[in-house]
Amino acid sequence: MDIVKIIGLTKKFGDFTAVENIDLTIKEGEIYGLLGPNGAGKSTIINMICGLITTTKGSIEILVDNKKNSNSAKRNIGVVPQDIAVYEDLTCYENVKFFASLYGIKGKELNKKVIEALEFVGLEGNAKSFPASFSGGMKRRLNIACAIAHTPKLLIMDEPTVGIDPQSRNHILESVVKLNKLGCTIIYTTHYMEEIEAISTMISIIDHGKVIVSGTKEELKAIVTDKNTVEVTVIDGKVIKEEQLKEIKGVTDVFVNENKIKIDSLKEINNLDKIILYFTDNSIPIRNIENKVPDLETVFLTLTGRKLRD
Amino acid sequence: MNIISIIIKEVKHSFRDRKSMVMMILFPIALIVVLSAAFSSIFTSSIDIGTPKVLYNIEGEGTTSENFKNAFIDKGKEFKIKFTKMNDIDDSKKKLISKEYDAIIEMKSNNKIEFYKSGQEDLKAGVVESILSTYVQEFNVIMDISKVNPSIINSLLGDKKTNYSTITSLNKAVQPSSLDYYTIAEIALIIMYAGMTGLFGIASEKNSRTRDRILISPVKKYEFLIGKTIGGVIGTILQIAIVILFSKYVLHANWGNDIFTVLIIFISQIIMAISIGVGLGFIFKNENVANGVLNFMIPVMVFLGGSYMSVDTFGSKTFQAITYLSPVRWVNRSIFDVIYNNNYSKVPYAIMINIIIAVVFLAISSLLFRKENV
Repeated sequence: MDIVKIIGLTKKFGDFTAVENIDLTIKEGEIYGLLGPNGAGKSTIINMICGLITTTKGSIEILVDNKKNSNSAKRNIGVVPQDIAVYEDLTCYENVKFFASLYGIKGKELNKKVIEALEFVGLEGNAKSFPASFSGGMKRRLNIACAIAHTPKLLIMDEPTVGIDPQSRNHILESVVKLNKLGCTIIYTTHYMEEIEAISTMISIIDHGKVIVSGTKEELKAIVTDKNTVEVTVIDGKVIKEEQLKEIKGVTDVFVNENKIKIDSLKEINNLDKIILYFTDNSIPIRNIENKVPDLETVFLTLTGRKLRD
Repeated sequence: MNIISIIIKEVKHSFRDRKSMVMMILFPIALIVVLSAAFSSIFTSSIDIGTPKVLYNIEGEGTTSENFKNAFIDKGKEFKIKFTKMNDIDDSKKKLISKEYDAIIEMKSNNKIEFYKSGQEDLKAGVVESILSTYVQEFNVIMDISKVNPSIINSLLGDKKTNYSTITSLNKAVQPSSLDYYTIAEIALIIMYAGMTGLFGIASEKNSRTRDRILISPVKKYEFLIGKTIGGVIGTILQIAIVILFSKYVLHANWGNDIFTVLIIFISQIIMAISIGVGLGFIFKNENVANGVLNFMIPVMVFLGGSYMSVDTFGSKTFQAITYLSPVRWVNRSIFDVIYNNNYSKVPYAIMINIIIAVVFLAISSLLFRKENV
């Protein structure tokens, strides 16, 4: 079932086109990653989905046939904004309770949902504390709790890990996967390639307001490479006979750089065992062996000629 | 339900914001205390001349001298005059010259009263002389009546009433003391500063992105606007209530007999002040500019309103007319009229002006909010 269907979405600010003719379909149960550098247009897309800004052109359908601004759709959407949008003078509990109350939840159910949300993000012990005393990571987690207390069907997370320590980042990423397993469809925007790679089931790479490519991570990687690369580190690279390595079935190129040997093979041929056998048969001790799989950074670099963090 | 959630949140903000609490509660109390003490003399309508000290002697005996003793000397305390019986007239005159006493009253055996005072310019002696003169005139009137109808002399002399004169003045109504004046005036002043609550209530939600978060939820824009405004109004009412209770029960300021009407006027002013703040928050995208405008508007309005000093008798007729351009002037004047003159004629105007201004600013806010690309 399609949770979000975007057709021909365009947003212009004066002469500047922030988003241009985007088509996206997000299916129920997906963790849909929107990957792109800062200023690519990810947040503009999110803001249009949430109804915070109007569209210049195109249509957005949320939760099958509901219009993006209808109350029914809004009740089923949770948004974790890029900025930490909580009240410093309300306690952790009061913040979550206030935002959850706006979704029509009240009484005992409200209290139950607030506690559940705080437990989910690991802040149940800080319920009575004020966010002013929180670390960046704790504030980010509170930011998430405020978005999930009403148990939305669709959770939109806009760069939820900006500026936090690796431990908090891991906690948030684990939470995203956990939420998804509980039945929540997630749209996750970031410019951190590793995050998208770690959690997303579908990815769209966005640059200059356009979707460059969409697909699973395997599909995206397949676009940019037709070979497998193995990098073997040995004690002494001088003993390597490149010609012998090239005789292995599927090997197309061998590059020796001091003690590192980079071996390219045809993608469809699995010859890793034979490559390892070459080293053992010739009594060449292996210090390290690495299967060099192209990452999304490589995909982005290949498609745009720029690095993600440029 | 959404509006109530926003209102409750706003009230919590009001009471957790230390700056707002100091500004809205401690600051007006300090202003009331300081200004009422500093300008107390301007509002005083009586002068305390102290206690005149008078030496006296009554030589004669009989009804007249007895009446003089009972109706004048013994009643001295009521006039704050200290009478001391003298023994020797010469010694007493020396005490008078040395300013130890202010006056000497001697009733001779023939019922003739002689009055000595220390000097022409002695105010205390003058007061005693004046009261004595009034007593003597009344006594003479009684004597004249008794000549016509001797049977009533005893009842006239036996009359315990000591109202020698009735003070009639054009300024008969009770006037506010400086404390009474500045209690009302400073509360009216600080209510105008509640406009800041309205302004920063809108600006802070925008800056902290919490407004976006609220509008992403099923909250309508009008619910947000109404919730913010009513929340600001209730928060300010509660803060001002603390100031009112403090002024009434600790400072003992006069709130008159109809505090309900006074509160209604103040509440209408709070609605106006918050609405102005909210409106400026939408009119000016930059909160610093809005704050600057508010900080210019408020001092002008409160000055014309008489919150720094009374403007009732200040300036020309033109200036007096200009003062009524300020809604604060209507608030102050209508409240003073209610408390001190039992006059309600300005109350509906004051409330109407406040509400009309509030409606105008809220309408502007609503229009601009709707147009915003949010």
